[in-house]
Amino acid sequence: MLNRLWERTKRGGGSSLDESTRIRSFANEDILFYVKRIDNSGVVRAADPASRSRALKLTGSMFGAAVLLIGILLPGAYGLMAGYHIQSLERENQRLAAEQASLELEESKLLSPARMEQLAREQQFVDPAPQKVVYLLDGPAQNASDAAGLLPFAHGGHAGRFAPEGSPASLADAAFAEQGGR
Amino acid sequence: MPEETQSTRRLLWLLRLLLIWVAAIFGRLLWLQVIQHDDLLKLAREQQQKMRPIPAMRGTIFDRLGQPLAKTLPAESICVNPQRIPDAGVAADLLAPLLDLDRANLRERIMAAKRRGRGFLWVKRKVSEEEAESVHSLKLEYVEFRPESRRFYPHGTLASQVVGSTGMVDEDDVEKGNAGIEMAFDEELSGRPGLERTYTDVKQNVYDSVVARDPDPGEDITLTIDPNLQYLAEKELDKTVASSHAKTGSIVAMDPYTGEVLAMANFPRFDSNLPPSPGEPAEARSNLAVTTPFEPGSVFKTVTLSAALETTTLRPDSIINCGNGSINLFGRIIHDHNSYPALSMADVLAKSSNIGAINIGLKVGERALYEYVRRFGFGEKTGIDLPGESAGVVRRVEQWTPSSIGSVAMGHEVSATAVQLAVAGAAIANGGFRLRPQIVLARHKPGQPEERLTPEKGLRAIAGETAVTMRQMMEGVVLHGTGKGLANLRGYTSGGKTGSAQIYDLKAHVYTHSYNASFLGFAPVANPRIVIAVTLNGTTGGTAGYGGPVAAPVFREVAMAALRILDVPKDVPDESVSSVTPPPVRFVPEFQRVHSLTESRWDSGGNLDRRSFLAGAQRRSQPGL
Repeated sequence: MLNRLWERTKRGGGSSLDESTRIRSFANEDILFYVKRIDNSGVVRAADPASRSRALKLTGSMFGAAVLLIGILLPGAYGLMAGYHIQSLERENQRLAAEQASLELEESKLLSPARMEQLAREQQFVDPAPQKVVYLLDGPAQNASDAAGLLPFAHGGHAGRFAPEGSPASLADAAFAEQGGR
Repeated sequence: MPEETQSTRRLLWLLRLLLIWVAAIFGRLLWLQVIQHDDLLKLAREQQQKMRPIPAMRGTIFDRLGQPLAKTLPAESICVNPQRIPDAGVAADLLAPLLDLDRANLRERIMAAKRRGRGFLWVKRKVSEEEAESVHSLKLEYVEFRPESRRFYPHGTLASQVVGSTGMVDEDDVEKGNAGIEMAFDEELSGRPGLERTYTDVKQNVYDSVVARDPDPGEDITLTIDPNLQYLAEKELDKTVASSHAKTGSIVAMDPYTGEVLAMANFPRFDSNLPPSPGEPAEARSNLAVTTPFEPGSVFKTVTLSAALETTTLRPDSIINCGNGSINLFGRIIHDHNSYPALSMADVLAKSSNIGAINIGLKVGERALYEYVRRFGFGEKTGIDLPGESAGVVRRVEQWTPSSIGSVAMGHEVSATAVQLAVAGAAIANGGFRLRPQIVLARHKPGQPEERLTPEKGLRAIAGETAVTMRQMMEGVVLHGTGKGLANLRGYTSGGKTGSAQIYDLKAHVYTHSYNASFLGFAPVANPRIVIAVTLNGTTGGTAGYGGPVAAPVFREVAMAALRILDVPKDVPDESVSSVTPPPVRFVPEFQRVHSLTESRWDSGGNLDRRSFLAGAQRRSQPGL
């Protein structure tokens, strides 16, 4: 197809076409490869103190900037973390306070008179008989019956029984006795 | 050079563009940072900072032994943003079973809120810890949790009318006391909520907070109520209401020297933990002992006889005409429950003779009787720190009909509350002083020392000698009167008065066959440590519904328990009630010294001298003196 195109171009274009317009040869058709060996073992890098200094300065300034940045940001970050921690502690404090209140409530429920009575009934506890109640008091009287025996008018229907000294009833007794009522 | 010129030109254009860009940024910064600074700062603060109320913990209500009767615990409420819920049905499916809610109802509520464009809807308030935890675990983005508090009443119905209850005034408001102490001391118990500024991150997590104002927790209030006595009183009341077929009932137990209410029981009661329910009796949430007056009946004869002792020459052994059981009082025939030709004044009280009381009342006269009725505190509020107190009804003497004196003398045409009766009984028991009943023992503001409330001034109602005479006569009621064998205590002396008032039917204008049965008593007689008023309303069964058979045994049981709890030494042998026949009661005509010594417990202003009182109490614990 290219030959046909070439022929047609040749016919139409005449001699205006030069050799440069021809299709090139195949690869390696007319090229001779040559490998040149170069020995760089003798090459020595020239000393450049300015470059070294620049590199060190750059590294130092980068490090300084990083430290500065961290120095600026770190307290804020710590503050933030501390804030979260404080919030967590406050929540813990509230939780513990709530738990304590809850336990107090539970204690109150457990000590309710109704529950105490039920437990006492289950354990077959009974109220002591009235005469078995002993008051641990000073003096010879140990229970109500003993104490009643010490009083001159213990069995009377009068309000003065067991009346303490200075009480209205004891004075009533005294007045009553003074008038010969006893 | 032409290439360099073109390159330079391009660079210059780029530089110009950069400069314009920098200028634009700078201008924008200037606009944002300087010109709109305040507005944007405000917006930013609104977004990042929130002012949040810090709820003040409601104060605890304690009984006199220091156990909580009402206590607040933190609780969470669950709400949603309906606009963020993608599917109301799914949300209802998820939440309803966990929160024990009706699924269809919840779905309907969410959809209705969504339709109305609402961004907030309470799902359930004050949920239990388990419920909150289960909803938390769902991690639904449209669900919010709001911290609130929940009031707990560990003893349920115990003293529920005294302690009261709380409720929401409206959905967004905090809870307020709506009965009892919760209502009377709502402001003190509530405290004042604080304010905190919170800082949130982009996910609205709080990372910092600053308290702008500390919350003031509510005061703790200690009541005078003794839980053990209260429980026993309620148990006895329940038992007696059931056996006497009464509709309602009340018991008030009071220290006669300080006015401290040790027990205030009512029937019916309610559980303070539960909201009102449709089937609940109307009286259940009312403290009947304070709010509901009734005709006291014969209990009121104590007032009539006190007035007689002070304003007439009548003495306990004065003979009173009892008209053989009937009297014609200005054309009105009044019959007695028993026929007596004549009785001593002491026996008029002991046997509760109506005709005798009327004749005594006639001797006293209208004005004097009215004055003594008021002196004992009837017709005015006692001033107890409980809401809704009734003053009772005592008509002015100008409004009395000619026969009113007969009615008032035996406790009709007047009405009184159980607390008023207890106050009147305390006046007789303590030597004549009318006290303001005290239900609050102490108040404790957090961070401050406890403030123990001292009894207020006592007003002299009757003289000391009158009080002692009345005590003696009231002991006669128990020893050989209408309370015999019913109000006697094992090991203690006691005095009291029974009362049985027929209930008047306001519609039919007739007296019915149901009664207000009551008993007002104290023990021991020599130095009363407890005064108890028992009332049972609507008892039936004829004489079986009277105050003697119905109310007196309640007094006996409660008084025995009270004296045991108060550790009061016995003043008579246990067997004295059953085996020893008491001699006739003798009355002492001269009490001047008694009066002066009784007065020594009180200062000139009528205040209780606690030191003297405590010294007396110590002496009382030494038998044989």
